[in-house]
Amino acid sequence: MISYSGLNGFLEPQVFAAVMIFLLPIIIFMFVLPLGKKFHGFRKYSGIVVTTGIFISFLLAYYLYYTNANLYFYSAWFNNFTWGVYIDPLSIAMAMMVSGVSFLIHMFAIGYIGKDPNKHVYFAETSLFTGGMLGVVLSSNMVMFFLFWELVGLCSYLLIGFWWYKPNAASAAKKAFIVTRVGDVLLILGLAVLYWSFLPVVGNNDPLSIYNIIHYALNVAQLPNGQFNLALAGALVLGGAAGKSAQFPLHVWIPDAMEGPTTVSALIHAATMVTAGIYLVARIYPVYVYALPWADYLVLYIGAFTAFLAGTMGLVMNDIKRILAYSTISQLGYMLAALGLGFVMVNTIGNTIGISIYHLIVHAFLKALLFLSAGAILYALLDTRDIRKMGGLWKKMPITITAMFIGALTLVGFPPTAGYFSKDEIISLAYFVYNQNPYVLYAWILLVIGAFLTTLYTFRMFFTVALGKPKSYAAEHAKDPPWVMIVPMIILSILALIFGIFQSGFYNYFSSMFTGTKYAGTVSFSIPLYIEIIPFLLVLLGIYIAWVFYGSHRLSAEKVANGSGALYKIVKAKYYLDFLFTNIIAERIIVFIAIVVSLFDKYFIDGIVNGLGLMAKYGSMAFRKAQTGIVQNYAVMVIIGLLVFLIIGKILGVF
Amino acid sequence: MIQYLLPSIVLYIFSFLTIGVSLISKNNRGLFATSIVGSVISFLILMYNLINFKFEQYSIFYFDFPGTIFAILFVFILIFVIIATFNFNYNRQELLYSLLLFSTGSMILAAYSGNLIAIFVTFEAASLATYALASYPKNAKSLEASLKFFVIGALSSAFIILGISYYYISTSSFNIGASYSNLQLFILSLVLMIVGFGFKLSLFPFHSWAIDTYNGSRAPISAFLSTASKLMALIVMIRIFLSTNFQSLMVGSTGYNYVQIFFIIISILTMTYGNVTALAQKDVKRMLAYSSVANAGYLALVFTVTGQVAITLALSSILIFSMAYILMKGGAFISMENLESKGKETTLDDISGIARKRPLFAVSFAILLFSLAGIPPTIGFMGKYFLFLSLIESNLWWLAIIAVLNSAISVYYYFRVVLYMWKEPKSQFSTNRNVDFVVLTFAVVVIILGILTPMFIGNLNTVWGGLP
Repeated sequence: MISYSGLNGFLEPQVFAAVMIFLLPIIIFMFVLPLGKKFHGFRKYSGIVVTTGIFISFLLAYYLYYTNANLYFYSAWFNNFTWGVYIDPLSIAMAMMVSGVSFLIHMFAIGYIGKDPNKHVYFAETSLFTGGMLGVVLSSNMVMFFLFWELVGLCSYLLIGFWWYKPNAASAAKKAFIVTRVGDVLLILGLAVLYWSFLPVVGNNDPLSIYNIIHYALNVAQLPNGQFNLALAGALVLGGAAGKSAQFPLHVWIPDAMEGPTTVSALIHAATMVTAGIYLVARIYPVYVYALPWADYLVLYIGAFTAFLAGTMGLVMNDIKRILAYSTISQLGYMLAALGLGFVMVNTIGNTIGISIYHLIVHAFLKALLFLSAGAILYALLDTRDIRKMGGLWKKMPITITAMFIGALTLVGFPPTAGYFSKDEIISLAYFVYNQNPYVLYAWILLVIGAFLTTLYTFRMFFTVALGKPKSYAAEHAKDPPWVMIVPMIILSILALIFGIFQSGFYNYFSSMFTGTKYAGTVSFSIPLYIEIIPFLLVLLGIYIAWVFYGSHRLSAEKVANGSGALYKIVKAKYYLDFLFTNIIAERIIVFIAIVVSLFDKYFIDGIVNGLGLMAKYGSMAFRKAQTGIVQNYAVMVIIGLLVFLIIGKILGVF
Repeated sequence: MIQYLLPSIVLYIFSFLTIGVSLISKNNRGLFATSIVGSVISFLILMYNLINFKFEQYSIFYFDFPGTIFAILFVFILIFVIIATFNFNYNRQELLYSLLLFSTGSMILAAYSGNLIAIFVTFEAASLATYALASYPKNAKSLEASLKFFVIGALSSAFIILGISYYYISTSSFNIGASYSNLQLFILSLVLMIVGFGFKLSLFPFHSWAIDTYNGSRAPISAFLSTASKLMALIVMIRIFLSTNFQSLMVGSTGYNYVQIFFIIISILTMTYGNVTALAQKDVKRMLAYSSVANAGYLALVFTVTGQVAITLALSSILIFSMAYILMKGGAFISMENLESKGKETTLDDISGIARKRPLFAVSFAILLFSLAGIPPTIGFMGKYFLFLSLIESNLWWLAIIAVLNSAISVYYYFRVVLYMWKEPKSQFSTNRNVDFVVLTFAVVVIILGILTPMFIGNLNTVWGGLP
């Protein structure tokens, strides 16, 4: 890894390209918004401008990949913090995925959002979002990272509420903002713990630089209490990651966030922003590697449990976007669990980051694909989102539903789609780690059941949407969207189908991250064939059960639901988590604290501030009288001033 | 040696050349061109010197990095003041340009001087020219301001020369950083010099002339007086009080603590007086004059810092702050040229609504005011930030808190101006393209330097090193 700093470093071609990757969309944002406001004629070009800008970002990211960039650039910022870019396989892969997927979704949005009168606002905000997200993955410093992290949170809020006149959208935006805020508070506490635990080792040489976190975590762990500090920091940072990546128990905001435009759901709440939490945990992996083991198990089990829990909730939803949202939560759980496996069994870390990020990227493709096809359906069905009102769409809009079919197969991990290569690898790894460490057994079981549930809800949705007879007037008259929306779906379908062939190359690329460390190289793991085949058998079983209930309707799903009694009710009510958070914690506990704090602020703090203001005002009235305008007085003031200081000198004993 | 003297020599030559030109042509355009050419040549030579910088020391001159930077700042503000004065249309305007060039030439020499006699001579040469400059609109108000300036200036010169005499008695040398034989006389000479130079820096209680003079003179002249002439006093004081010899000689003695306390009290009084009094001003230009006094208090903070690490940081930060000061204060005063209605005071109502009529000017002026208030990402913020940081570095955190509170007070009166600029228009505004250009340039530079500063502050510490 090459280090650059200062102005000379900034002008290095690779560094400059890296900075421009995230700066370019932000600059475009600054122009699109005022231009669109001022010139109405410009609005219809805003989508093209933004899409082009993001494509340039993608090309720059590809340039970094092509030139094998592996560098750390930093420049003085404030106090002992620096800003800069940290470029290694992890950040390059993320940057290429973010800019590439963002480019395709923007292209789709040109058609999808095209009729909206405020489309320049939409494109400006998504451009800002893309810049922020690219900043998240390229930042070299946790403070800079946090600023971009907040920026994408803000954009997410703005874009969920893009149709602000819908009351659901407005309140969903608020909910997303507040829930992720809980995670952000944990994250900033985690950063504080990191700062204080790295300060003794790194000194004033930027304790929160990612370079230092990666290279000095071992030294921190050797300090007294070092491992505990790392575990505490890791757990708190995990809280922040859970907020952004919608892991249990902070997952409640994503399903509501589906009120935003579908392209926003595809871009932010499926492909890119929600993966920021996974990226964060992967980025500072040495913190977990050297921490006390409980932090590692926390990562593993939060991931695995979320993968299972979200799968169950996905089963009972009827809103097409919400099904996809729960599926996203569940798949993010797989990625987090994969990282957790590496932390639990440290010598597999060279594999796990690659495996996790590979699943992240495959998931970005397939989930963007599923959301775009859902968006195309909504576009055709005039925003009908209930799957029970669809049906028979395969005949009406063949290209869209075929794309959705490919997305569904990839999601469940049907060979030979990319999903098979990414998800089954995680489950196999879990079994391998279980062989070495019995505590991992439950994680493996949860992940296997999760795979089964994934199949079940995915094909429940797919069969209901695609087969049978149209169940509404809109569904009868649906047809495929214009080409500008179809091309991205086709590209994503191809990627979802063939990305599997890059699997081993991708893992090798990622293992180069560890060259020169003691985790260099990958562990080759093999597990018995009858274990390896379990997920695939479950996929087949899941598709069959879904077919029985929703394809051929030989058995009735309602009867099963009614027969299960309370269980169905609990799952349908999303385990009462929303009720707990909103009605008990927020409305009872937080409101009480807020009242007490506001009284303190009103009478104590404001009292001080107002008092100071009044003092300044009266002082001002008195002081201005000293300016008499008579030159003799000025001379006297000079003399008196001198005398006063001489007297002070006399008192101090100088003279 | 000659390359460092050349900028002042060029300015002196062109100073006389302008008078010569005025004999040939009666047109202001020729004068303008001559003085601009002179100052730009001088500026280019200075930039060349900066790029090929090499420390040279002679008996009375230190050709060092801080001196070069300050010289660049003087010539920079000179160029833009000349641009802003272009359409004054006075009789005998050649004297204005001649005095400006002459004064700046002397200031450059003062910035390089390392000997008290050289300092006094160059300082007086620059000051005498500024007394005449202050009279420039030549109405009752400005003549009065000029006369006050001169009288108090003469008084302070007396203090300086008295201080220099005591200095010679106690050290038998005129060189800076000479070792003393009699501490009491030495301290007395320092106190007298602080009073004398403090007058030029407009430190409380030697500041009174500044309000009347800045308020009475024409806006670009006020800009020149409140920036270049003040920073000249600053660099001279920095040479005397922060030189390495002086520090190593004095640290630990009772006299050192006394000088320290002296500066702490003066800077607190100056900041607080300037800021608090500015609150009550209705006249915008007068408000700027008071804020200029308050800024002198921030500038004086650099002398309260102790310890080699903190002083190195303070020197870098004072350099940033001086840059910031010359840009934002100079720019703000030059802006007043656009706002002033002739001969009357400029109240807030007079500038109300200018943003509707002339948005670009209003935005630039607002940026300069933001910088004065210390809002990021302007250079004003960076200057204050590093300056206060060096205070904390030398354990004067309570002084830093006072400075920050003062800064908070100042936000009120700066923002009030911005607020009024965006109200409904009430009156007509005169337009002066040159002034618009100058203010816009300053605003852009304020932002660019504000963003770039953190990048070169690290290098600055090593380049600046320490004073000889």
